[in-house]
Amino acid sequence: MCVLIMTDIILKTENLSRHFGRFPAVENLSLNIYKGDIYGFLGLNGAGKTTTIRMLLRLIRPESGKISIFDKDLNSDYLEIMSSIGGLVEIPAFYPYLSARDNLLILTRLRMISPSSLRYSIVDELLSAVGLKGRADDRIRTYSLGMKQRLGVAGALLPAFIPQRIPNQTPLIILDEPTNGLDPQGIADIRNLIKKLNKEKEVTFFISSHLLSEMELLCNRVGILRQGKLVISEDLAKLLKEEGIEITEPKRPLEKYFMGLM
Amino acid sequence: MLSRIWSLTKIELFKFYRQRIFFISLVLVALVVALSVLMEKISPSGKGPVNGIGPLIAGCLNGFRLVTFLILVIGALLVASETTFGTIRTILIAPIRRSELVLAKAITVIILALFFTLLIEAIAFGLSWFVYGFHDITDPTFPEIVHLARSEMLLYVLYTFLHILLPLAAIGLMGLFISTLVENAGISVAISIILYLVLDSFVANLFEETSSFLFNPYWNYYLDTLKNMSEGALQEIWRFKAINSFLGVQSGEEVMLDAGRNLSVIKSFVIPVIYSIIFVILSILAVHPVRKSY
Repeated sequence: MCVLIMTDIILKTENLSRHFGRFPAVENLSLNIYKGDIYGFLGLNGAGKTTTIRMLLRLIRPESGKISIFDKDLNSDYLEIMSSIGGLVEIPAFYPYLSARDNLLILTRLRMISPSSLRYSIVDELLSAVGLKGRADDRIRTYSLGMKQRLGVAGALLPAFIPQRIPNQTPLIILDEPTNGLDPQGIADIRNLIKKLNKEKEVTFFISSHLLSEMELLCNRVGILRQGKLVISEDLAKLLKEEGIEITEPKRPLEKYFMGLM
Repeated sequence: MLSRIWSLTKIELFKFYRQRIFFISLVLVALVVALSVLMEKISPSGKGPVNGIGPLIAGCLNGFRLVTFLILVIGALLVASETTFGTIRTILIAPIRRSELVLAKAITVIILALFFTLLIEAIAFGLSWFVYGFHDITDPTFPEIVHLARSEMLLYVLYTFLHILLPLAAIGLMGLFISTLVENAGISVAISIILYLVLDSFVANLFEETSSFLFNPYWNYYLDTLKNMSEGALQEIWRFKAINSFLGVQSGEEVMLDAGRNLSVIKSFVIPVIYSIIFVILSILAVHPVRKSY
């Protein structure tokens, strides 16, 4: 039996709340994400998924509650924590007048990676991982939505490709709707990449998505948010077993035919 | 902290260099300065050989007037364009403080102000020297007393450099502050320009100190003096020598010292620095996580 100790908890929120005007976006959210999890954060539009992610990435401040990441307080140890966190919030945003390579090089500079040869090799590795190596030097304004999404995922995955400052600390990647705008091939590629990084580098993922079928294939744990409140947070296999539902490879004849042609 | 700020500054400069606005600004500034310098050649006033000091000053004055608005617009775009593109989130999901980002953008404004000031002076100086040459000015009636060497005049033009750079940086930082408050790049630019024009035309008339950072009247005044002098208004030399004495260019035995104006010279250095510091502090406060959500 696996016994979880405190250091296994990568991300912990306690009674996190945030209102927009009188509307409660997130209410008393308490979450535990463990090392090596691929955690699916599910909910309808307006359930509070993106607000939670923005709070986790310190883009907005919670009105109440506490966030601890890597056993440290997000407010007081912000710089140390963020050095091992990558994130993608809603639409991927890059400088349209720069190439994909230059945009990613900026992100490596922001993380103080040196020398420049290391920056270039990391960026090349990232671009290959998301299948954009061939268009690396094209400006972002020429990219399709799907390509921008792939690049957004690449930017978010950066901490998984760089040496960690704190020994034995594995990165946490927070992705908000990472499959938005991706074609079936892109969705499968990103899924495989996430699984590979999770398995080989023990990267922990916190992913929000509408695509429940994808979450079934990807996640080991899920949390469901309804009107800002966490309804359930559980091991996926256990949850479905309790409900008497079996996870099987979905039958998607058109998708299989399409992928066969690609 | 310093290495992060410097790294962010390099990113800002790289981004500016790769944008179209950089090349448009370069061409526009070069064109305005060159045309201003060459105006004497294109439409000669018929006064005989022209002393290059006059066209040099004309080029500087027009160049600086243009760059004032350019720096204001650049400052107004620095944070607001990040929110418009959404890249502010991409940047902030990195181990940096928001205050460090603002400081890097403020340093970028100052570096760009320095770059454009140098560019204007270099083009105006090079063209004036090449086309007209620089000559001494002497009053034939009192050649012993009223004589101004060209080296003295050129050194003075160099002194005006700080007079221009500091207000220019303060104006750019005012734009930066506006851009931390407004999330749309276009609105940020519009508000900055309107605010600048209002302050320049109304407030400047009410408080003399305010005007010294807005359209700094002193560099206008001193450069105009020098320009008039080069065009034959020799009485201006007296006024010029007074300024030089204060700046320590030469001993002031023959100088009429205008204590009040000299005090204003100090003000025109100190006040833009004070304004700059205030705008940077306000910008940092405006983006603090307690106040600003992204």
